Amino acid sequence: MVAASRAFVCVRPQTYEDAEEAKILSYVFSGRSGLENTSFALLDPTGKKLTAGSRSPSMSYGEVERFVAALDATAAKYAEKAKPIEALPTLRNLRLALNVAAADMRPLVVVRGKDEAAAQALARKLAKLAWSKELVGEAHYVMLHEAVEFEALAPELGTSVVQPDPYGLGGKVLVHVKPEADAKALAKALATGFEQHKVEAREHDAHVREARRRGIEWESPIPLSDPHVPERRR
Amino acid sequence: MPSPIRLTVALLCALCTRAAPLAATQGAPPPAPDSERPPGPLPIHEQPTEPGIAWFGTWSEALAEAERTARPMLFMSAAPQCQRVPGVW
Repeated sequence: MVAASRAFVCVRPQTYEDAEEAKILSYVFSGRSGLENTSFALLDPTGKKLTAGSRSPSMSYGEVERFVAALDATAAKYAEKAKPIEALPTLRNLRLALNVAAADMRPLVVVRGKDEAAAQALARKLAKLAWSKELVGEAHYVMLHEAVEFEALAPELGTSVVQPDPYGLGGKVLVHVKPEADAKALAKALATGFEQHKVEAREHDAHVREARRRGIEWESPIPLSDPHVPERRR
Repeated sequence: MPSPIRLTVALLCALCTRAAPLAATQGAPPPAPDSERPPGPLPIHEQPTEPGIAWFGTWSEALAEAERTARPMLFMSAAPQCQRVPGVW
């Protein structure tokens, strides 16, 4: 499935986190009560649905093999004109990026420039590595062009590989390189950071219980509306 | 024949994490919607064994890149919290 995904631009917006994006999520799939926690569809390069929207691939295809076959068949139709992906796949901001990286148990690469142009230049340099055969799908990325501090994590100018806290509440900088680092130094830093990143097995219910005990709660800007989740737990 | 719940778990897992497809089909990580989650404690993840899907995190950037590259999009939204607890899908 991961191999089949490489022919696509894969996008995973975070539900309930952005009002503008919520319109797209509703277009893809919306239940009777509005947005649900998850939504899924295959889209054409202009964002038009190629398949009916649903809550998940299993709702649409049932079996992994059927899903992979659908991915391959769809990709084949676009293969002739498809160009390589070059943009760095980033998350919206540091808070969300830490949360997503924690949930996926991936390292987070923070790119910080002195201004937007500098951050974009760093991101272009990093993107080549991010899409390389060796490193694709290994990490999440976020781009900053201002000094940002979140839960005592204040990334310096340049590129930092971060081990997120299990709840996305800050993280530890594993490796940092300055903005002027060349491609070779950057590649070495990423490889070292990814190697140092620890995947700590977690158990769902214990993770939730510990959050309750510590009073950790995630606030989303959009009210949670999934009818499959009891109202008292939203 | 795997149950529909198990398939949902496997597919969501493979889409939302970097876990290997084989591990997923063996029923490892279960970030399934609450209504589809079997009762009792379940592991969030098994040790990843291979890289995962390379996700764009925002619609606008993904759309721009899909238009530029003429590639189709695999769209899967998810809430980065469970019962308002972060660090889990």
